Amino acid sequence: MRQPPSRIIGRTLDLDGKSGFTPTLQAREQHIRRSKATSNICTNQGLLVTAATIYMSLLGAKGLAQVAATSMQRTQQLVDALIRVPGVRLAFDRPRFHEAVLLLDRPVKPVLEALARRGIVGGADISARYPSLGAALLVCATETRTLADIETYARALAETMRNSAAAA
Amino acid sequence: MHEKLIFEHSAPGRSADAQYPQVAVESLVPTALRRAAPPLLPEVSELQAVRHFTRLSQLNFSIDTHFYPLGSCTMKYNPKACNQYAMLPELLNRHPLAPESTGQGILQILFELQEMLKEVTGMRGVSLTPMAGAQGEFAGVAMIRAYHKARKDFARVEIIVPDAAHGTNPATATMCGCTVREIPTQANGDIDLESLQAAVGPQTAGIMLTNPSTIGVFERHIDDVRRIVHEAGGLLYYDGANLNAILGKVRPGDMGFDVIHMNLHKTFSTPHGGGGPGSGAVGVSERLLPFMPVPVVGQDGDRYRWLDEKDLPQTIGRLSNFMGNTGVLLRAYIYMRMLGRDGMQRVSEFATLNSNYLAARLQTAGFELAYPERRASHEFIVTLRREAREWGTNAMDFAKRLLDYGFHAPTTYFPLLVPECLLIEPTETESKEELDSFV
Repeated sequence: MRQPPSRIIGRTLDLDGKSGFTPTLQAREQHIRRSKATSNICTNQGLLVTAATIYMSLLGAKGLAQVAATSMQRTQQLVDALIRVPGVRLAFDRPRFHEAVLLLDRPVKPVLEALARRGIVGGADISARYPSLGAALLVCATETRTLADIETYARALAETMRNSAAAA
Repeated sequence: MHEKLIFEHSAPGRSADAQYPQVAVESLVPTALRRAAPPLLPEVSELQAVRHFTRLSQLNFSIDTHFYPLGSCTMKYNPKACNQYAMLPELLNRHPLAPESTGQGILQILFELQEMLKEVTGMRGVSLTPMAGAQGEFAGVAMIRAYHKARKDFARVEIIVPDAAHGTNPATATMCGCTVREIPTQANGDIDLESLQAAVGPQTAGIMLTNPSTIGVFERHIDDVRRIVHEAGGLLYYDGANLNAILGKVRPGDMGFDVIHMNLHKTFSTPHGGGGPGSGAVGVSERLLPFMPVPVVGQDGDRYRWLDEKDLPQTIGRLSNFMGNTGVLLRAYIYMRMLGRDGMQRVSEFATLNSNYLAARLQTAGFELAYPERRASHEFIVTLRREAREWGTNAMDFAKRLLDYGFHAPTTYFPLLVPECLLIEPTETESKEELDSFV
């Protein structure tokens, strides 16, 4: 408990027995311990933490499970739709959550650029990061994507692949 | 006022149904990978959550509700337009891995921000990636170390820090594997040059300085400090915590600093009261250009692109997955564009004027200034040692009583070398009426 970096907020009782909150174990921190502090952290990511706290409060366990299940289902539907496109296949058959690596039969970059011209950011080109995979495209779907989105993407990818194959 | 924990508002089965998909989905997660019990999260309605978090927000002192003269923290008003434009969906919802061709707008904004910060600070290059002041400091000292290592000058591991410095400075030096040597401040507030001269040597990696310093005065012998440190082979690090005092007036680059971090969330308008997020963009002199953290935005003809490890092979590396806290960078950009060159100067002029006005009025009212013979910068120190001695009423008592009157307390008991002190920074955005009420 005396080693973590940055701020820790503790809960305690005041003289009237009401609960209150305060930064605690501050003797680890830079403004007191200076060169012997456990970190130099001062400003942190407070607003992002607040947003995440509110989001988790709204969703609860049930909502969180629904978001996860829907993300996973949408990704499955996206993968199913995309691997029907000639020249596209799935890289791994292990269980996946909301992302999947697809392998193309041609360089990814021009395909993504063609999709961008159609108003679609088609995924991340990870070919350079993982050269052993070859032409690898990382796609992802969350609970915010609809089946119509997925169909639009699959149709655009099919046309893009057909056109660039015709050009080659 | 007491507000229960959100968990204490829970009732089984309740949730904010409109906030997530309602269509029942059979989980595709293999049974073996599922958790046995659901997470213990709150179960509340949307309205319960809205009320809870709204009430908690109302328990806060904030710059939108109260005068907030927290010295060394620049809690100034953040124009709403900065927030409004930074929240444009085209900026908010762009994926950082999307192709550069679909993000020329944001790349141009970041490029122009780099250029503006170079101009304001007088540095040769700027990298925007550090995600807070602490990361900016880390990047700065890491670059100093990388510079000495690249010259095979391995003995330079000592960082000199004035005793008035922020705690982050010595903490950063240690995190970067350096040792720390403290040097004293003179009674008049300037660095003790004899001690500095005695401290430098072949072991000196650099010095970390704030100017104006943490005691709220401009270091008058900055040119001698630069000469002594550079002649000894060390580099100069500028802690940008007090940049608000000098905007458009003097430039750390012209003072001879080799690296600076800027707290964009303080000086350039991001609300950071809840703890953050911040941005600790760094600026460097010519000799540190090759070591900047990546990515940096570069320009090829009329196209903008990320410069990465291939462009800067000696870089100290990456400090965040992508571009740092882009939301904070956007607010800084919008703020600077709204201020323009003349507005930038008015910031430091009014920040300094407000500070000196408040100092003079408090002195007339009978308070003791820690450095009465020095003109204040954007902040100044009151010492309550007499009140503590004669009445047993110390700085903490004054700070707490100010809260009762609806003023956030100034920084207390910092810097450590002034007894019973309040470090007061009114900032440029307070009116004379507000300052008078504080007095």
